[in-house]
Amino acid sequence: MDKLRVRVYNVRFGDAILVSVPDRSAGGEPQTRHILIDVGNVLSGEGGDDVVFRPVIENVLEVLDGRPLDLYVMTHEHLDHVQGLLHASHRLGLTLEVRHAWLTGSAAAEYYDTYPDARKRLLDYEDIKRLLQASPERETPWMHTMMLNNNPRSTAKCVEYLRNLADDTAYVYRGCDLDDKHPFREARFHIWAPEEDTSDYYGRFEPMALGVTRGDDPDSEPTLTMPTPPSGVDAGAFYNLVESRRSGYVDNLLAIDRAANNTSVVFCLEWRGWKLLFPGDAEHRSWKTMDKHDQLEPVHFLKASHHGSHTGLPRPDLLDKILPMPPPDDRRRRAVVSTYPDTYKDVPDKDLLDTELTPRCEVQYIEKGTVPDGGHLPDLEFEG
Amino acid sequence: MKVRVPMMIQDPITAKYKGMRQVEGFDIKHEDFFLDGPVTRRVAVLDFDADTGDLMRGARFKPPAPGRVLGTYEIADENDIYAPDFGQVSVFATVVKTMYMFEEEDALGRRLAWAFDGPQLLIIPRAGQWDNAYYERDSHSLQLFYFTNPHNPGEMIYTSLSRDIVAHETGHAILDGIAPELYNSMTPQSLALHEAIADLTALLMAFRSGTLRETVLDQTGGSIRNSTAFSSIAEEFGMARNPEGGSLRSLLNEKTLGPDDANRVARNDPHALSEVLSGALYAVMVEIHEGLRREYVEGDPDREFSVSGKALADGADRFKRMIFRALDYLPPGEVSFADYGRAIIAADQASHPDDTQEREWICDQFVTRQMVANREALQVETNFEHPALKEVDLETLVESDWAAYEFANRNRDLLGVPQEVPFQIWPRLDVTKLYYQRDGKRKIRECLFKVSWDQSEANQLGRRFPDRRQITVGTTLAVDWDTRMIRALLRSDHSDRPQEQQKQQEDRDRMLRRLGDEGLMRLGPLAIGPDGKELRSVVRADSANGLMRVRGVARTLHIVREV
Repeated sequence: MDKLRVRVYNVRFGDAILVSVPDRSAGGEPQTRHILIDVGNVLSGEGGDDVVFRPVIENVLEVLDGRPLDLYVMTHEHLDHVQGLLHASHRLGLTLEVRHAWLTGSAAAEYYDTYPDARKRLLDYEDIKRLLQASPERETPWMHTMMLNNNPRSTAKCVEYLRNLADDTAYVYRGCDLDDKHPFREARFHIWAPEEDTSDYYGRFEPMALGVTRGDDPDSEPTLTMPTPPSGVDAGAFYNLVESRRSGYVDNLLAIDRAANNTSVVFCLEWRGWKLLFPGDAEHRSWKTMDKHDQLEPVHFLKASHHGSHTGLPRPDLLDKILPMPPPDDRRRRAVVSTYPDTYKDVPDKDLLDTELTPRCEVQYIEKGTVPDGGHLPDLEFEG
Repeated sequence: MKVRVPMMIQDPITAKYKGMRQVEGFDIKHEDFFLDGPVTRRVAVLDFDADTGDLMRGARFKPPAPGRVLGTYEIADENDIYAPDFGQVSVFATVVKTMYMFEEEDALGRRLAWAFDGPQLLIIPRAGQWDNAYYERDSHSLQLFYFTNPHNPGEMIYTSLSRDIVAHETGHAILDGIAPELYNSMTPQSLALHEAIADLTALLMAFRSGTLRETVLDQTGGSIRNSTAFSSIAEEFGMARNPEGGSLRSLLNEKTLGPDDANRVARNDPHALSEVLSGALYAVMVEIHEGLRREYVEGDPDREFSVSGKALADGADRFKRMIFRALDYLPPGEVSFADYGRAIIAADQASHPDDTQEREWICDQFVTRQMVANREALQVETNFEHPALKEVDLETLVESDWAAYEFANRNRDLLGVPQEVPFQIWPRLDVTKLYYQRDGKRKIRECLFKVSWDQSEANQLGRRFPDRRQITVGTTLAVDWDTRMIRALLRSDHSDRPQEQQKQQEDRDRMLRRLGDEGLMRLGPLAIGPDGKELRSVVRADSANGLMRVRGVARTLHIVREV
C-alpha cells in the first residue's frame, strides 16, 4: 500500500508544508514526487525568528535526496509565506533545485499593468506608511507586524527570487491551463482560487484623509498637518473630526492584508480518492467567490486557512460543503492549524475552531511548544 | 438680518440636459450669527484639502451695509460652480434650506436638535476621492466625496454639488435628531425608513425649486406621473456610476415586499427595501398632485397645464406635512413600515378626521405593496379620552423627568409597558403645529411623550453568536394640550400583532446573518483593530449573559455603499 504524506513544519508564524505523493516516472516506474508549499514567517516579534529555516530546508533537502523538487507553490505575497527560501539561499547557502513553480497570478511582474485596479492596495500602503512615520506613536506592535508583512518592497525581493527559482514558472489562477505545468502523472490538481483579476477581492476601503505632508525636499520626513478650528466652530468637535478622518487607516491596513490573503492560490490535490485542500491564507471573500463558482466540494484534509483566524475559516454554510456532516464517505478527515499565538491580533480564534472545525474532523495544531522550531508534526499519512 | 446665498438647483448634468440655469438664490433668516466658512451656530462648512489635510479658507461673510438688512457671502464668480467659494456656500445653503423645511410650522413646528452632543453639524464638501457621501453621528458630520467619472476621465463629480445628495444626507442627520433610536435598530425596515425619508427629503427639496418645477412641468405637460427629475434621485452621480441605469434610485417604481411578486426586493437589504416605501409615498404624491390639478381647473380642462405648477407647490406642502409630522408620532425602538404607515394615518386622522382621501391612497399603497397584510392593519384610534390624562399637569410632565417616570410607571397599561420591566423615558416635546383645515388655519399644541423598554428574542445567527438578542420597543403618546384628548397612541411592541412581529424578527435574523457573514458585524474584541480602537468598518455586537446587543447598525448604511 502506498502512502501520500503531508509534513507540516513549525516555522513559528508562517507556513511550510511538504507533500510527498507516490507517482510514476515517465517509464511507468513508481516514483515519489514532492510539492513544497510556501516557507516563510513574519518579520518581527517572537513569531518571526529566522532560525527555523535551516532545519526546515535541511529536512526538505534530505527528503529530496539529491533530486530536484517537483513543484513549489507560493500561495500569496506575504512575508510569512515567501521569505524562507530566499533567506535559506542567501544567508544559509541552502538552495533548492526546483523543476516547476506556481506563483499566485498577481505575482507576475507585469500583473499591475494588466490589472491597474489591483494597484490600490500598494498605493494605500504607502499612505499609511507615511502616516506612521509622521506619527509613530500610532504603530502598535500588531500594526508593526502587519506593516512589515505587507511591505511591498520587502516582499518584492522574495517574490523576485521565487519567480526565478524553477526551470518553469507559472502564474496560476482559477481556470488557468495546468498542462505541462507539473510533472505528476497520477495526482490531479484543481485550482479553486484566486480569480485572475484580484481587484475583486479588495472589497471596501475606508476613505482616508490622513493629512500627512512632506516639505519641498523629497527626502524630508513626513509631518502631520494639524489644522486649527476656524472662528465659531466647536473646537472639540473639530479635533474629533480631524482624527476621525484619519482613523480609516487601520481598517485599510486590515483590508490590504485581507486583499493579499485573498489572492492565495487555493488548490485541491486529488490522489487515489483522497482530496487534500491547501488554501494558503484565503479569507471569507475568496471562499465566497469559490462558492460562487461552484468550486467547493468535500475534502479529507484541510490546511486551516490564515493560521486559524476567524476570517480564514469558511462560514459554516461553506464549511458544510468542504467538510460536510455527516461525512460523505468513511475515510478519515483531518485538519492542521499552523499558527503562533500573539503575533496577529485574534489569530488563531480557538473558540471558533473548537466550535466549527473540531466537530467535523481531527484537528492538529502546530504552534508554540507543540514541536521544536524547524521541526515538524508526525507526518499525516493517506493510504492508497 | 437675512443673508442671500446661491445654491445648486439640482446638479450640473441635470441643468445641462434640461437646458435650465444651474443656480438659484436662497435667503437665510433665522440664524444667530454668520461667520466665514460659512459658519453659523448650527452649521459649519469645513473645506479640507483632502490631500494635505489643510483647512482651506472659507467663503468670507459680507455683512449688510449700514442701514441695510441683507448680507451675503463673497463669491468671486457665481457661474464658476466648481470654485471652492461657490461650493462652500451652495452646500451650506442646501443644508440650511433642508433644515428650514423640517422646521416650518406646518411640519415639525420647532427648531431641530441634533442627535449628537454638540451645537453644529459639520459639512465637509470635499471629503476625499470616493463615489460616496454619508452622515456620521460620531463625527457630527456630513462627508461629501468627489470622484472621477469613470466613463469620462476628465470629469470630476462633486457630491456636494448635487442638491439631491446634500439634501438626502441632511435628511439623515435631521431624522437622527428626531428618532435617534433608529440608529441602533437591527430591523431592516427601520434602517430602510431612514433611507426612504432621506430620499423623500431630497424629493421635497426638488419640489421647492421654482425653476425646476417650471422646467419639468413644461417638459411633461404638467404631470409628474412619469419619470422626471423629481422621481430620479442623484442623476449625475448615478449616471457617472452607471450610464445605462441613469439616476441612483428612482422613486417611480412598483417595488413590493410580496414574496411571490416579480417586483419584490430583498428583505434584508435596507437600501432595496427603502424603495418600496419611498415608491409607495411617491405614488401618493402623484395622486395628490393629480387631485389638486382636477380641483384647481374648476371644470375647465384647458387649464390643466396652467394650474399644474400651483398644484405641485401646494401638493408638495401637503405631502411634506404628511410624511414629516408622522415622524413625531413614530414609536421608539425597532419599527416597521407598518408602524410608519400607522403614524402617517394617525397624524392625518387626528387633524383631518373627515378628509379621508389621502389616507385611502396611503392604505392602497401599503396594501398593494404588501407592507401590511390588509387595511385593518393600518387602523388607529385618534382623539380619544383617557382618565390618565384628565388631571395630569402637562407642563410638569414635559419639564420633570421624575414626573414623566412616575406618570409612565402609573400608566403602564395605557403605554403597554409590561409590569416590572424597567423603561426609559425620552425627552418630552411641547410642540405647536399649524394645520390647514376646511374652515381655515388652526394651531394645535401637543405634548409628545415617548417611552421605551428592552425585550429579548431568539437570535438565530449560528453558533458564533449568542442564542438571544436584545431589542428595544416603545410607545409614543401624543396629547392635545388644550383638550387633554389622546391624539395618538402608537406602539412598536408587536406582541399583539404576532404575524408582523414574526416577520420583523425573521428580517432581523436575515440582515444580521448577512452582516455577520460579510464580517461587517463582529462580536466583542473582534471588532477592535490592531490599534486597540473600534474598527470603523464594522458594527460591534456585545454579549452578556447569553444576550447579544448591537449598537450603531445604521453605520452599515454607508458601509454598504450609502448615498
